[in-house]
Amino acid sequence: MPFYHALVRPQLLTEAQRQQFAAAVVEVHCDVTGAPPSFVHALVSEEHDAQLPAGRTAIINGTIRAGRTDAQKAEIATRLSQALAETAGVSVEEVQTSTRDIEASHTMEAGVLLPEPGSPEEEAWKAGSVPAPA
Amino acid sequence: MSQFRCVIQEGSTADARSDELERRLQDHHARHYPGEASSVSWVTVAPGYMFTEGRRSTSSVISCFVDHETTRDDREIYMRGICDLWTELTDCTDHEVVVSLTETAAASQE
Repeated sequence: MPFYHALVRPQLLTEAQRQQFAAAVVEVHCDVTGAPPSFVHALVSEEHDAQLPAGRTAIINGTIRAGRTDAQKAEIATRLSQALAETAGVSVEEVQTSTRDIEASHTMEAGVLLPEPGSPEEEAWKAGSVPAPA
Repeated sequence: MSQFRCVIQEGSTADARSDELERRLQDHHARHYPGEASSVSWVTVAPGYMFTEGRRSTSSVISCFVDHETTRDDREIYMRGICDLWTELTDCTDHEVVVSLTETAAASQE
């Protein structure tokens, strides 16, 4: 966690572009929240037009730990929409991003319940979860 | 009925052993909530469509939708059991297993 799911029109993105978008997800989420990059997941799935909202080429649904501020969530949404639009070569108005909060203790990753953002436990968790440089 | 939704990577051990994983998830749920049935659905991701830390992902994401209210301790035991059975059957590491739990009983009352 976080888990970002981009639903896009078929063949909107090549594999290289999907990877570029996934890298942007890591950059944006970690820049805004300070979370460790090793926990950032991005899934891209292709959906037919009828399954996308009218006027949208892509939508991004992010599931993130509760506790982020509204300003942080707005920045994530804006920057991810821009990143996907730039990667795909479409207008930013065609991309819609939203986030959904999940309580940290409702998620287990690397065998432990995730800590609340900003808690003392999070600092220890970050120290232990960030892989040593190769 | 409580449900599991599992996102796995095509060609992974989890993909090859999904029948066994499904049975073990249902057994785990029935032990935790005695005798209770559950259902399992699968989303198999083709290579190049899911990424972790910006690289091709080897992770499995197991979303549990449980018809019960839970305490923190209860969730930890429940999700720990899923991590354990998953790593045992697939030989993956804890880092490659993401488990989340949504209380559908609580959600339906909102």
